[in-house]
Amino acid sequence: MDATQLLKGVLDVAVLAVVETEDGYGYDVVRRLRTAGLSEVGDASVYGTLRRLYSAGALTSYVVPSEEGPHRKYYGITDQGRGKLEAQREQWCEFSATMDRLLTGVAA
Amino acid sequence: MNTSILPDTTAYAAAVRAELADLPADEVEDLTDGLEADLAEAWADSDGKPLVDAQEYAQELRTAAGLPPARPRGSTLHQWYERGRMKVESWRSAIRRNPAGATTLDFIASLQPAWWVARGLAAYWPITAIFIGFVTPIPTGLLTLVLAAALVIGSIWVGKRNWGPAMKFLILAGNVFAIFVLILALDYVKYNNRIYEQYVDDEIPMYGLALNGNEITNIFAYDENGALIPQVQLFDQDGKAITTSDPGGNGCLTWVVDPSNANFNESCPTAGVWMPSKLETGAFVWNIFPMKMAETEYEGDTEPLVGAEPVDAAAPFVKVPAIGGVEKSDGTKPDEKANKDETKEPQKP
Repeated sequence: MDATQLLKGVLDVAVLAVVETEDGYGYDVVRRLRTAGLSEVGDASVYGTLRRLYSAGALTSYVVPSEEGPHRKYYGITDQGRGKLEAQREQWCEFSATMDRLLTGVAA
Repeated sequence: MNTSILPDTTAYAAAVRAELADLPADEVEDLTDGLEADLAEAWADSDGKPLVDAQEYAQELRTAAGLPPARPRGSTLHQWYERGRMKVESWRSAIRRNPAGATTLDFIASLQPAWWVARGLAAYWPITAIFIGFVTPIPTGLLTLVLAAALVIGSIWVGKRNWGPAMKFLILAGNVFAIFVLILALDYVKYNNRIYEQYVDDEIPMYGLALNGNEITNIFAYDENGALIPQVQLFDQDGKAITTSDPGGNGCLTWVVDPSNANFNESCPTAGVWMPSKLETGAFVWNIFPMKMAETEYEGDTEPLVGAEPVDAAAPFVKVPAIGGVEKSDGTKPDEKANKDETKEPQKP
């Protein structure tokens, strides 16, 4: 199964999860996702997702000037973003439990 | 982080922004703010090589941000052409999935040379109309023949070559114009044929009654004794009412004969319109003869004057010879027998 296809549906919640405890800039978020095991995540997909979550009010953003190079744009989670994350986390747990049962054939 | 080993992040970021150029400026700014820094870091992690090209990168950025896909680049004309071409291409592949559809498409494609010829001829008509000043539907003279042949050859040449998008768009526009001209031409031919048919109709009446090509306008019946029957209802072998010429038609109420003029010796001072007769059922019918006529205001008028009484038409004969009874056949042909009877002349009024 193509992992990038699976990723499309859950990228929002994954991005929210990695900025939940600590703000991050674009590539920082990519790196955290890859470190967490989502090695196939595309840079631009993450940046686009950050932008969309920001537009939806789930994230805030601020620019940090850099002395040695271009400035960085940081993203942090908002209360709305936390609410969204909680709801999606529950949904995911339910969904993954269902899929586990379905795929392993273990009755509930 | 060392940015000096990655000198092209600016160029790459600029290329990405160019791909997003159709979006509002602030949207592009929000999407690509800090892109250079992110790129530098990403490339540093991947040995300094961009993983995807700028176009693909921009597309991914758009999709993830929930923005519409990029519009095709190039001139507006080119965009229209490309959009139309993609649409046609998608229809074509949809039709091709069906074997019958594929056969039909192949057949239509095989007609393409015929279309090129038709298109060349379609160009011929407007060109003769504009430059020669008149439309000759079919080229007959040397000049028009050469012109038509040149246009057909030109059309085939244009059709066989593989053109660029701008020229293809022009050809498409030309084809639409050619279809328009061909429809007009067909309509013109149809119109001319209609006129011709009408002309033929007028020459040989296909309705009413005629005697040796002359229109019968009224019928006078005489009984066995040779006396005029005041009113008679006529029907044909199928029970259809026999009517003369055009029911409701008009004619002359009173003829005046001028013996001094040999050619145009009849004039019509009083015009009239044929009037139907009434049955006991109350219905008006046109098969009761002799028909009566009512005066009209002028010749050609189909409405009788208010209060005009239908008057009897003048009978051609006051009396005709009585019928002499039935004879048994003596073996002579019926027409020879009729000729012998011509001695019995009817009495003129």
